[in-house]
Amino acid sequence: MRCPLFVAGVLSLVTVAAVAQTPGTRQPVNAQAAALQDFQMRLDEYLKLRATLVRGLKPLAPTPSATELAARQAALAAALKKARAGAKPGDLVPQNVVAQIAKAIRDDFTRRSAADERATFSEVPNAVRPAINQTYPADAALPTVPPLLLLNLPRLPDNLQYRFYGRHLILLDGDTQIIVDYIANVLPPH
Amino acid sequence: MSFPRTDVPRLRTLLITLCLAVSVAAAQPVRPAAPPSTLPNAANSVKFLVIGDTGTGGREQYQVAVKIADARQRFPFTFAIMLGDNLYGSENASAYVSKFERPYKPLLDAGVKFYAALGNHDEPSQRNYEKFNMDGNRYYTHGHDDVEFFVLDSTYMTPQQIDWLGNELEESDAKWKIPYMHHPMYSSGEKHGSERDLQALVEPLFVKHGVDVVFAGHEHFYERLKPQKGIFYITQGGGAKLRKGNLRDNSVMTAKGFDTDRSFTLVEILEDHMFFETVSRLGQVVDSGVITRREVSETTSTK
Repeated sequence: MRCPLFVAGVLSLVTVAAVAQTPGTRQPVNAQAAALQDFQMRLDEYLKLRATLVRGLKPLAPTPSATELAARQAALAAALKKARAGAKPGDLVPQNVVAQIAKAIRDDFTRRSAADERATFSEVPNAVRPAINQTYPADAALPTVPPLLLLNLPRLPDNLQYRFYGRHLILLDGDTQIIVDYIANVLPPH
Repeated sequence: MSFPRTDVPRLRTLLITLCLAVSVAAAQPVRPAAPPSTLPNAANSVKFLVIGDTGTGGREQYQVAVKIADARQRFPFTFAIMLGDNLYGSENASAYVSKFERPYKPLLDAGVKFYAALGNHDEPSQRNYEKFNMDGNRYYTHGHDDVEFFVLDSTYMTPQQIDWLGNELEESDAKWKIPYMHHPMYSSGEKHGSERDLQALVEPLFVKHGVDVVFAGHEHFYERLKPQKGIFYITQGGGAKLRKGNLRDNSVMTAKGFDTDRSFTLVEILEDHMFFETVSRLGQVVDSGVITRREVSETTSTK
């Protein structure tokens, strides 16, 4: 187990270093690290807000009642939408992290076979540009983000997930299924 | 042939009744007598049900559920593992009822516990639905005597989850370590096929820690694969939906496939042996066999 993960970890570091030295981006490694730190702080702020909202509601904890579960989920979703009514794309993912993520995605799909790429996108919903605070469509599958790609994306806290949506990468609040940020047109055409 | 005039209305009533009876009988699912079980049904074994891709709320899900309840009369399994896509489409409160609680009511009433994995049609919030026994987690373990299950969220396989899995497998002293998840690492399905990222990241953990059997769903059929790196992979995604004829005919990986109807699998673990039996929506046994733990079979073969 250690061996492939170690190799992947080394590859991630190499990727980050390569991004830092790409002429197009021209950011020194410490600038990349600072960007990731900035991203982490924004995520922490989001989690703090979320935790504050949750405190005023019934907890998202195991319940035998589907009605209760749906009600708690809806209450948190409504509170998040209200509290982030003015949120804009890029509020959570800073621009220089967008560049790192875009490169990781490009690199990942460059090494995938056509069949693998087809399989990856087979259940991605066709979607026009997403919107912050939009609820993910209930009847659409939640397409799997390839685990090898996830390994090379900045880590997210447990409540947040990267998901493919049309040609966009969205950050989804898992419990409420709300789009909290997105990077537009970052995925290859499919 | 003629009838007295007074008998004509009675005859008409008789004919209508007969037609109605025939059409009602035709609408019923065919229920041939259940064949004798191939499972040992021992008193001290671990018995469970394997179902996947169930949550349609459609007729076929209910028909399979009836067969499962019938099967439990002869094979009293105590819990069920769900391989994901537990609820298709809307996940409002009534969906939990029509797509889970109602079809499996006889099992729930009998105290059968369901342990769900998340599929690509499942919202992560299902982890807080008590009847799925996930205890608020996307990935978790549950143990039954000598058997420990490692339930994975293959729709979102983060590095954190991979680290967690490595630690859990390392620390487990169970005789049988059985992971299950929604996406199959190996599959002969034309629609989806094998998950190569999972092969790269997760399979080495299974090999290292002595996993013998892995269950998955996602493909809407049943497939038992020839061992891959010594591990048996079983795909059971035919609990409600069907992708008819989707198994590649010439796949060298398939040991046994069934893609012409829905199915479920019954499993019994008795010491070092895992007996299994896959039953179709019509009650036919379409696959059965026994898997012996690698550690034991290798010891036996070298003696």
